[in-house]
Amino acid sequence: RLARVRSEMGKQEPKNSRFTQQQLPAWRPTLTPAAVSGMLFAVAVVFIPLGAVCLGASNSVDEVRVRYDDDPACFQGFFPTAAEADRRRSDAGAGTTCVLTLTPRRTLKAPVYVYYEMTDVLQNHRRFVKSRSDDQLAGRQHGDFATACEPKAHVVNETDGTKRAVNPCGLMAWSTFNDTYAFEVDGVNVPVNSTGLAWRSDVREKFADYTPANVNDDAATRGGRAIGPSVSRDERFIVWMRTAALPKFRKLWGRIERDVPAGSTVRVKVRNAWNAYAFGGSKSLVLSTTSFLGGKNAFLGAAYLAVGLLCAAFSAVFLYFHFKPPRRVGDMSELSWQKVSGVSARVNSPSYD
Amino acid sequence: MKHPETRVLSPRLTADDPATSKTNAFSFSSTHSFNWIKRGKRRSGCFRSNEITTSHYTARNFLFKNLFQQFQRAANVYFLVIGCLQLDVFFPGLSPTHWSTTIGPLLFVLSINAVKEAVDDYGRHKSDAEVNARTVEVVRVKEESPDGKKRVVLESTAWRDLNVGDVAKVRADAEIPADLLLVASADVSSLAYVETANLDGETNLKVKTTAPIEGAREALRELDNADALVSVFTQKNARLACESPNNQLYKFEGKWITSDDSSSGGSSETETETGLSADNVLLRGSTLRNAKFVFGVVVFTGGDTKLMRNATRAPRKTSRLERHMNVLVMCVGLFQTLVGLALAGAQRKWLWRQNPEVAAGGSKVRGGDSVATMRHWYLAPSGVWPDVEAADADGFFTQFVRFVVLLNALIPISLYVTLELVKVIQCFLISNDKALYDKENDTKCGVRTTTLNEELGAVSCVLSDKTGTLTRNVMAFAKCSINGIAYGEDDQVVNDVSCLKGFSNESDFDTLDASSGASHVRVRVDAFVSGDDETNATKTKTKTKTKTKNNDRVAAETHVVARSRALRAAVEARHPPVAAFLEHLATCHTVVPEPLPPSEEESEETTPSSHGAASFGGFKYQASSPDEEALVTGAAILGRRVARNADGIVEILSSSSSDFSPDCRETSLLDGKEEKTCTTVRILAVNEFTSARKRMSVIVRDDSRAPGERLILRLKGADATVLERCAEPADHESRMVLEKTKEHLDAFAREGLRTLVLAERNLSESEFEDWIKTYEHASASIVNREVALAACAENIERDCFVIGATAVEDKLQEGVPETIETLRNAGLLVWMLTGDKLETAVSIAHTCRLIDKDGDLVVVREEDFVNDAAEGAFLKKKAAEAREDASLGSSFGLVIEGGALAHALLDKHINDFLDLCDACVGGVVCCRVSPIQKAAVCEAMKRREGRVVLGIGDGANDVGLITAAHVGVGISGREGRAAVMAADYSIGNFRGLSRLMLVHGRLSAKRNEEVVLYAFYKNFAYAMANVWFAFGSAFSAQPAFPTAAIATFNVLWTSFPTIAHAVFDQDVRVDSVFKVPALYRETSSKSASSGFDFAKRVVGWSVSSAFASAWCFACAFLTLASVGTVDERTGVVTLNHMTVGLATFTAVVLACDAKIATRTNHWTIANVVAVACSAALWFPFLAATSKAWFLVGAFSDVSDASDALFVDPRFWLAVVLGSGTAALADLATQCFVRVGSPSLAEVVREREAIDTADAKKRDGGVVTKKKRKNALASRLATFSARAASLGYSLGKSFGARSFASTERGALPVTARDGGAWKGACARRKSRNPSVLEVVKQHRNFSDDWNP
Repeated sequence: RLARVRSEMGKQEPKNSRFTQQQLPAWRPTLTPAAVSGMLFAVAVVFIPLGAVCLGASNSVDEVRVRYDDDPACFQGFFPTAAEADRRRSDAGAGTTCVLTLTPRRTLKAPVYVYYEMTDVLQNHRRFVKSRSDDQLAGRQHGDFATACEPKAHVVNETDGTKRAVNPCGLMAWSTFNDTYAFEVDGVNVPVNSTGLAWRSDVREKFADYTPANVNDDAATRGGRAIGPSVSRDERFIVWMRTAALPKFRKLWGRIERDVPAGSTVRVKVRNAWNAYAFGGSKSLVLSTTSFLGGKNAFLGAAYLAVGLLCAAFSAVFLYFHFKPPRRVGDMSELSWQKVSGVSARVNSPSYD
Repeated sequence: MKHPETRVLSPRLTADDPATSKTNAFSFSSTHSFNWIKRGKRRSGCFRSNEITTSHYTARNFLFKNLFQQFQRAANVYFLVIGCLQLDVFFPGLSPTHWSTTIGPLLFVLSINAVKEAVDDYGRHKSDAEVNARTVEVVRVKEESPDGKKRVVLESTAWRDLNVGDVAKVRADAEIPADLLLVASADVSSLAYVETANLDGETNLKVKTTAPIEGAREALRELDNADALVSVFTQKNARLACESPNNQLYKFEGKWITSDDSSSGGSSETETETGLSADNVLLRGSTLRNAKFVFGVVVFTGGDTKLMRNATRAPRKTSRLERHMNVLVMCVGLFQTLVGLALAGAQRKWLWRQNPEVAAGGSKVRGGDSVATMRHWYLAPSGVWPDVEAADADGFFTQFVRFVVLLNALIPISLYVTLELVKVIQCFLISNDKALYDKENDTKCGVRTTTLNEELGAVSCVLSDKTGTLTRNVMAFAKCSINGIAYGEDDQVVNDVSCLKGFSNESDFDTLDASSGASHVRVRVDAFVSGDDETNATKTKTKTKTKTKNNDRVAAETHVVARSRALRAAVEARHPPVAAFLEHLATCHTVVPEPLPPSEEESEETTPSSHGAASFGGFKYQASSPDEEALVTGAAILGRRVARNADGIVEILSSSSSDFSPDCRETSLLDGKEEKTCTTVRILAVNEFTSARKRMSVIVRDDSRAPGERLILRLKGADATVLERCAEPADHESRMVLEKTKEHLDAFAREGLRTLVLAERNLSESEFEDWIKTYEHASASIVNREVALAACAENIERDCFVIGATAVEDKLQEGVPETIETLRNAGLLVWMLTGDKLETAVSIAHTCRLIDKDGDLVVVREEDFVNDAAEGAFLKKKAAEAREDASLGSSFGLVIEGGALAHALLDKHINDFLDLCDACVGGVVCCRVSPIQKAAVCEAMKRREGRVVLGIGDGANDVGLITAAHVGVGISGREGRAAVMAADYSIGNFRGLSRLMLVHGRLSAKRNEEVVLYAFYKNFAYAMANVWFAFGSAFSAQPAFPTAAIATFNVLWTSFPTIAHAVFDQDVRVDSVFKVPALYRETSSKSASSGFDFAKRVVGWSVSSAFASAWCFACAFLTLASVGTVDERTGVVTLNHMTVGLATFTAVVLACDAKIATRTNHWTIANVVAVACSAALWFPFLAATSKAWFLVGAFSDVSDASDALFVDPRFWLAVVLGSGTAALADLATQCFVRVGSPSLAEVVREREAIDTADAKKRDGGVVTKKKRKNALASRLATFSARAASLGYSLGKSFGARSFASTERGALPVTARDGGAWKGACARRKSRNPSVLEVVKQHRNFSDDWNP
């Protein structure tokens, strides 16, 4: 090896490439107040109108929302006793049926989307998120899914002690939303379209066309509902299975394919079955139209406006710095001494620290 | 030989074939039965094989060994543990994330490192194989079958099969295959010359003598005579006892033992021993020269050879940044733990709220039967351990582990490998920098440690060796003092014209020896030239002559003393003291003269200067010390040419004595015109020079002298050591002479010359006889021979009388004063540590601007400590004085002697001493320091907090300094490779240091710190999103991001911009650092600062990171968690949490890429590509994984997410809002800080931009008159502003502005006002420049800026 090194001597001189000599051509922008001011201004010019458009879109959405779980008509009779302790523990929330009356102020143009809105429901909880079997739902596997789906993986027959696998298993399927709504606009029954609610790809690929087995189909218990006729055709179930990002969420329940005129009386017959009382959550019914940005949500527009305005303000500040600079650009004599004393501690100035 | 550290071997002449060895009488002798060396694995029995392996791995053990090595890094183990915790097989339900999120990146990181190692090792394997397969001839004795006669053959053997005891034949210009004991040489005088450049870098030939083994030479010469060979090596039970393998290149202790044949049982009485030394050993790695072939007995093989023993690994040093980084990783780990505890605690609280009754009762919530106790009934625990939701400590711990696993991304997994990669590239750039390439020696900058690049940019103190580092180490014999008369004074130098004409014309320089006058020379010149032309002017000869003459001219120009008219006259007149002086010079040395062969001439035609200074009159003088080289060459010019120095004989060709010995070899040099003679002097003993002894002496027998004076001891060495070994002068005259000599010594030293004192005395025969016995005994000893020899020498080196002194000049290297000036302007302390005399050191320090010439000097000597009653109080006093002076504007330089240093470095004084050093702003010189003290000074400097020390040196005596310093730099100069091998960086000359530090060091410091900070930034930004999400998911440790995103974040989306940034970024242009050296100080003070300062910067980045993360999270979740539009194609209405998480992730990735973009000052195409691709390629990746979710189980959480996201305008709006705002906030903050309190670098950068713009304008040529007027006006305005402003303080470094104020003479006055000024003032004033000087400097600088 040494010999090789030796033989290479005489041609040690490095090659004169731009890379090795660190002389590649480069763009060297300087962060001057003028440049930053211009940039901020440009951003403001884009963001403020964008914000306005977003806000406009959000405002163009008409919606009617009513919370019904605390409506006495819906609540009374949900539990056999009125005791708080029972509410917490009881599985026997048999559910109630009640009628809500809504009056839209503005005409809701078709299609009118029917959502249920829930608060404090932790669909994004780790336990909940993973308590399902994608393979099972996609019909690829029918075996035992104990680990992921526990404790809702099996049903034990109390008489003979045999275990039967639940399909679809897991907490997510077991707690499927089971409230139902029936609409009557100005005394006329309005059908609710329950198709086209879920992601097309989910319907196609993630959920197979099979009949569920051993699921929590006793509607009298929490979340109990017969899923079906087949898994992939129950789009409300599929919507439920797309877990919400935050504890407060809206999920699509159906579509009303006709206008709901302003001032009309909408009577909704609600079967209140999903137990949100146990943990103090709320349930609401929402009728809403959409804009190109979806439902009502002022955040995006407000944020764009706010950031745009901030940019404009800072643009002005930096513009001020440009014309009345605290120091001149590139002027080395105006370095603040605080900085330079560190720099200039040439050799050993009396105190080295 | 009974000593445990010896090994005994016998020469072997048989092959390893068992059949032959059985029938052969010369099998391995049994004496090698020492069992200390059992490691040898091959056939050689108990000695090592000669096969060398520099590779670390084999194909079989690579995986295991490399993994073992990699998992010695704590971070890798950490991620492996996390990865194991994530395995559902072992811990079902424990981990919130998939195992691939950790194992994937970890595998990537490990494989990058493995590939790097494999590539490195492949090269090593290849070169090992090549070296091991080289062949060498080995002497074997074979039995001839018909008559049973033995026959000797030379067998070609691969190096790897060479065994201890083999007799190998090495031919000229071949490399020595193992450490050989030289037993025979083809050379007439039984010498062999080797070049040891591979070993120690010295290019001069070293002479080796054959071991004094009776008959070996003859036997090997005629190989047919097998019996002779056998008898030499085996019949007398010959064996070799020597030291155990070690790494000392210049030491070998051994003896050749033979015992009489009759008593082969090994009775000790009949044994005869011959001492062997390093002179008899040819070391592996050196190359044979000037001898047709040699025979040697293999002594050390393979890993035992001195070469391999010296192949030390590069020293492991860690940079400050790395240490900070490690602490930071710990802190982040701690932070992670705390956050994990807090979040787990919060989850406990949430659970308790769920089950107030249970919490009160303290029972566990476990399993399906307790479902009813959860208020959130749809979250029933699985009951499978460890996935329990228990409200007790058990559950708390589980949840804590979950959060640790979830937040493991806080620790940047790719940081170490990124940094490693980046540093390797930086090292490549450093070693390929053309500006660091030294044309003269054809060396480029060497980087031996790849971990210290940023440390080069943090240096605050440079400790420099003098000789060979600051100076050239090309010695010129400049002056001498003989018998109280100094020669070589300027006024006495022979008129250049006459003298040099003599050389440059076609004169044979020999003629000049005896001549004194110019006219004399000319006459002879003409006569000679004509004679030469007429007689034998073959072409080669003329050429050789020209060459010789050329060398002679160089020599005469270099060694100034030879041009002293007075000295020439004295030589001419055969003045006895001068003759004695020259005789001394010619005999007392270890220089080997080598006749310049005609063949050599052509190859070296191009570089006549390579040995021009050290050759004269047809001889090239090979010496280990350049001083000796100079002295012997000087003597040659003055008429005492050493023609031979070997076998204890020195032959001197002299032109002024009338004796003539017939056995002189070089009779051809007699040209007939000039009377020339050859004297032969026997060297009876040499007491060699060591750095501890600082002197050498020889004992010569000169038969030409009067009977009583034939034995002479000649002593040469440093003045202190020699003078104390001299007798008190007996008479007044000699006392005067001695005084004069001392005066001259001082004068020489003041001029910066290196002085040596020559002394001698006559020995009586009896004294010598007594002494030589002890000497021989000492030189035969195996253990501690050096000590024994030194003690022995001490006995005879006494009572001498001084016959003269020599002064040798060592010129400064090119660019040294400028470099030191730049370094000092960059705020660095530059100290010089030298073994030279005080006066010499100070003089050199002045010329290289290390000490201010007009400043005062504080001199600390050993006496100060001895006389100091109050134990170091004077240090304090002097420090106070110096400080006071510094505040008044003048400066002290400190000079401290080695003796005093020994006291000052004691624990009780060291702080006072360092205070004094700090107070002496004029520069510090330590003189007469030993190598150990150099290292000690370095260690002392390192004690001061925040001080990073760089040691630079070129010789073996600097190794201690270099290894002790934070960064060691070696100069690959004339003094061997010891320094280079110990150093972290090696450069060709001192000049390169400023570029190495100011450019590469500074850039690396900046870049690498950004790499580290950015690594934490991005990991913080993305891991913290999980924390924010925990607040929305009941602290359930649900990850915010899907598996595919987590697994690729560090590796694919954020690492390439960092690498590009760390390789290409330049905040200011490279040459600006030289114009404004304070830029270096700015960076280094930042880099060298304490962990606390670093922590402050980390906090700054973390805040910005936390903002980016929180804002991106908010934008995505608040926008996308609500109801979206119903897309006709996809039917998406609401996005699930993982899809929203993906949007957050997208925003975070873009924010992180934008962050590195805002930090980029220098956009090369690579930066653009890296940033743009990292950001842009994420989208196709997202699309691909969400489409291919069913292929990889871990991707099921992103199924079809891209379908939903890409068509949703809210996604794009949210991502732009999140990342864009984060980037804008960053830019605005940076600009705001820049406007308010800019760093120097930022200002310089602005200045550059302005200049570039100006230059463009000028080139455009459209400068109207009005514009020009405006420009002038604005320039005037700025000038006046400068005058009023603090311009001067920034001194010349800060450019043109100061010029105005200086011109008005206002600067010293204004500069003294204001407290904040103090430091800077002290600095400026310390240099105490005349106003004119300052103006001049400023003018230069402004010219730089405005070309």
